[in-house]
Amino acid sequence: MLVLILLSFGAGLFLGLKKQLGFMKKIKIIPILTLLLLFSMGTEIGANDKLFNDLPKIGIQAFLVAVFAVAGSFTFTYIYTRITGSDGENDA
Amino acid sequence: MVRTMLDMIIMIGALVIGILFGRFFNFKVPGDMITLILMLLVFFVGVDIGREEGILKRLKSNLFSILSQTIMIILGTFCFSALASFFMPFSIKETVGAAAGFGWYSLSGVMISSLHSPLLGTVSFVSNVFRELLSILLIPVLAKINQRAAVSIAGATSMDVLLGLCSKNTTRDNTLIAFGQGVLLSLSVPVLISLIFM
Repeated sequence: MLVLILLSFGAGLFLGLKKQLGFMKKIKIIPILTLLLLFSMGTEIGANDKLFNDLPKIGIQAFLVAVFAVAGSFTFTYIYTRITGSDGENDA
Repeated sequence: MVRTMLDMIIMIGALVIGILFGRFFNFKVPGDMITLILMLLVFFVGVDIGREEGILKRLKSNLFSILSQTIMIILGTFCFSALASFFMPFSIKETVGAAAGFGWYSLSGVMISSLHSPLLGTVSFVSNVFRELLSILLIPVLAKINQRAAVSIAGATSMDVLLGLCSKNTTRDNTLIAFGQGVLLSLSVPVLISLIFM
């Protein structure tokens, strides 16, 4: 499955760079596929009692992951730009 | 910004309707079909990124800064989200994987849900929604301290949904870096998530 997904992605990227398949923007295929997948992900959550009952807890855990991810991105890029002297003001 | 919020509400809506269908009608989408839709989605996402106007030229114009910015975001996100695993019943691999959406909640949620588990897929979806919301709130404030560090928190979303916000709060050069970071991270999301959960 991993290989199939990476191959699909690579094939899409290749065709995109070759400027193929311009029609898909018009028929909004990405939003439609995304909504379908989110819907099916929802059905799995809804049908799973434990997962469903744990949703409030999952929300808190997810918030924590987001805070750590945001803090990590900021800290690392901040330190990098300070060391190399390429922060906002200097780049302008 | 109104558009971004509307999109977010529609996507959360699709998830909630799915939850209700699963809960009350025991409705189930066959696993093979999910895999097929996921492949199609990733394929068209690839086409979409590739078709972006003058994308290679824009990346090349400031390649070193864009690359270093992207690498720092990946390292920072992974190191810190690994720490988050000590505060919850998930392994380091799981919290790092959940954070590997870099704000792209729709893709990371559905990918992890089918590659790993619906539980972690949900964590990833919600977590990346929060990342986008935190970016909307924090970028205008943090840009006063350090522009590149500020746009870094937008992760993959800085090439499209949050590009306007980045350009409003930073110089032209830093907006270009933000755009490039978004492109490289968007390319990384399907690859990193596949590799983490292989």
